[in-house]
Amino acid sequence: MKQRKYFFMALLLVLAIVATACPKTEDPGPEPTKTAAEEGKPGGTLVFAAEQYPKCLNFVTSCRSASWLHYTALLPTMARFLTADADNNYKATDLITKIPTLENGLVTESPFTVTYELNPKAKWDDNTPITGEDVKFTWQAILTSSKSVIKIGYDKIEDVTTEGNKVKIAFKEPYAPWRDLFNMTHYILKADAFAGKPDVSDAMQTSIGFAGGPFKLESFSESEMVLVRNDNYYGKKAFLDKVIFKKIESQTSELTTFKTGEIQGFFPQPTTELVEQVKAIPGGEIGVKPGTVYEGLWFNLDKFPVNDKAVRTALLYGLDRQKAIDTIVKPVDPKATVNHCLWNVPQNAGGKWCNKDFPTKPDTAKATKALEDGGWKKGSDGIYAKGGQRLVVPIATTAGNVGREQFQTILQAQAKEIGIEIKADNSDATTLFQTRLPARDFVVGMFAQVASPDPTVTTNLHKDLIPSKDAPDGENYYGWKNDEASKLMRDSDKEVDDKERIKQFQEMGKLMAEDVMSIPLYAKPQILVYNSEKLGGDFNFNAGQLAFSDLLRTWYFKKAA
Amino acid sequence: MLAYALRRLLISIPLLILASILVFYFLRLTTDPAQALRNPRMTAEQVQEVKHAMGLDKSGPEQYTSWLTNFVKGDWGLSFDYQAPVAPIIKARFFNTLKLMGIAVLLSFLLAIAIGVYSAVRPYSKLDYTFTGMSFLGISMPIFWFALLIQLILGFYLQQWLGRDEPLFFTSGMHRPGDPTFHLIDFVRHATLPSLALTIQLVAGWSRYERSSMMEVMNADFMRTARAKGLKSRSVIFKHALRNALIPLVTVIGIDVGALFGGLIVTEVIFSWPGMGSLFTSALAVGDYPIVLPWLMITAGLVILLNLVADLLVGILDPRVRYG
Repeated sequence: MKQRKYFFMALLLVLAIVATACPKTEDPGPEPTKTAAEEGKPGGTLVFAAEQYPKCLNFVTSCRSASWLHYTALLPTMARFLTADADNNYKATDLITKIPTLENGLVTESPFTVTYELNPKAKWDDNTPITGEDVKFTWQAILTSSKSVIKIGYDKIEDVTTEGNKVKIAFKEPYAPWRDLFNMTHYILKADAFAGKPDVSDAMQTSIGFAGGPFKLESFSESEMVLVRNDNYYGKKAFLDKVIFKKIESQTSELTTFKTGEIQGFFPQPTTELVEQVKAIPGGEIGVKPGTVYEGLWFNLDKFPVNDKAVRTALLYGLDRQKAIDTIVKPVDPKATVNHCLWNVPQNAGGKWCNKDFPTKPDTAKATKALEDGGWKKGSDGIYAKGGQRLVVPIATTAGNVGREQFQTILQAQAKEIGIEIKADNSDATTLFQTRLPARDFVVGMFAQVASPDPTVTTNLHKDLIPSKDAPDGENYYGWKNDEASKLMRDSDKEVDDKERIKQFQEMGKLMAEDVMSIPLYAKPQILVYNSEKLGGDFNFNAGQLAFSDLLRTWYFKKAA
Repeated sequence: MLAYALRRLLISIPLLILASILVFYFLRLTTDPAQALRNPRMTAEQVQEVKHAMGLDKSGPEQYTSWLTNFVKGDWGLSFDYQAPVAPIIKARFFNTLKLMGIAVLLSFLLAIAIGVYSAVRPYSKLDYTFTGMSFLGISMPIFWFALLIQLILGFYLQQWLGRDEPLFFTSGMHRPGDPTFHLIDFVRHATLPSLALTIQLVAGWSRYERSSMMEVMNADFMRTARAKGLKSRSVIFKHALRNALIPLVTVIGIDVGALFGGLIVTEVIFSWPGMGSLFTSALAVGDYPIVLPWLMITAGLVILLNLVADLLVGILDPRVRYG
């Protein structure tokens, strides 16, 4: 009797689960004829997967190093002066009336000042105005917080003053990357929220009590964060009621949860397989953009055999990089091409920093000539040699990254054709980036550099910043020692006139190409997966995802969700 | 028995300290927690400032002893990565893992006994062969494979088959997005798939132990005596055989459960279950030793404690075993 009782209890539980799971079987709801936007009825809760979920929220402290913190919790909720457009150009946010320039007089060279004109309608979510006092407080908080990790640039500020809706930032000396201050991933704090105490080190760990963007952070936990629409936003308001970023680390799980409808979008690592799988899902749509992450072949210029310019030139002309890109990258990004420039310059500001110095087409005759002029002789095995040493080039890339390993295999085959043996010398990502690179324990590295809209390369390429006892934290792992380029780097960091600065960078690009100090490959594509049957809006996402919040506020559900 | 238990616990303390020293030095040698904080335009002095703020400019022994002293006092410090006190982070993760493990271990224990007993009582029957085949499959296939398969079949395909807007069993998380309050049915719908993935692995191994142990006991002299006395078959199996056959299984469960507290990495990552395993991997990757070391102390401590519990249970199950 007792057993039967338990059986019925278990049966009831199962039925309850099934019943809860099936609430819509009998009631399909009203037929959606118009979109939420067309009806002017905002609403719905979007669930978006976050692959690298942040651990804490304070952008002043080390929490800021998690890039997904910005994409999820901060960019959609915080006020800042500038953002980036789809081509990674600087763009004014709703907070200001225009971008300061020398031409419009909002930037002055001597003394060096930058003035932002605040939008008179700009206000926090509690309807209080966003003022110059908030900007000044933010500057003080960044400089004086004991755990602040972003003081660079802010320490060059002399004072922040307010006159009407104008906020004037006076600098102690010219500072070319001034646009990065209070912008991009540096946000403006609400002074009142901190009771006038500028040390914000221990604040904003798991909550932020204010918002200056189209959304407001409602809650943050170890597995999800909830944003709600900021109904007091001074710009174009969002349609969605809520956006939930849910921590899902496994890409396979992201795809399954997307299939089941538990999430409506995600930013995955681009792979051919994933693209095919998403296309097979009803409503599965993929947006592709060349990202701001640039793949390249990075030489250690002090290591044999790439310490010989002839070898570097032979690789530059001998490898058909476009052919490899066609095989590996084009299935994801049909527009992928070889970059003309190194570092972060190809896509930024429509490529104005780039002078197209690097050749992109192969020329095996030039490759052969470079080697033979350099004293290399072809051996009986078809591989060149010099001084008894065969021309073997070890290339290190991230083991387990299928796309890169396949790319490497294609380059191996191409190099053999021109008498160079490429050897795989791969390590896992942590070992490669945290151990081998700082120790300069590589001959050629094949990996990506991440760009910001400001094109400075001083830390990475200045001759005085090659890691050594004198420069233990230098990041010129490549050992490029070019006096002229190093001077240009220092000068360009103080040049506030963009026209002059562009010339300096273009000159630097020529020197990079002359030395063949590295070989550019391609801009790594970024993809956005979303359900086009359920979601509407603008999906032309920004390459660096910096303007994700601008897209997010245009999204709406095509039927009530 | 109390003296035995205390002695075992005292012996484990130096073991824990040794393990923590090894892990600490391994981490400090291979990772730099300040690396992630470096700004491309930081000067050497500024990098040094960051290291100083994190206490990373002190010598290794100084860093370790400072951590250990505070740990013993109950101050587990701040996580580099979370920039928050360590104790609440680990506590939340511990209970999340406990929930998942509790369900899986209980289910596995019952299923393993049922399968093991049936297979031992009816050896070489069709069902025994079926269970044996399934066990080998469970043991030989990696858990991520099962997890993904379960996610796809019981998550996606079952939803399609039922024609529903949302899956019967959710494939990720512990609760509905945006609703962290506990609802039993919602919890069951979220916990079913990860528990099942774990249960398959556990049952596969444990049922084999139980089967072989039961078979050995079934042929023992005292079993013949019990049958000769005219006891009912059910009584012979469950009162006499099972109690003795549980002894090796209890020991194995003691070891497995302790190890599982930190070993659910794959299951937790695939089902987005915020537990101890995923906490460890993320902390290890960035050298966050204020998280890794207490994590190690807790998981290692649990292995030791659960082994001790298993030993004590063996004493209860088998009165011949006495501790002194």
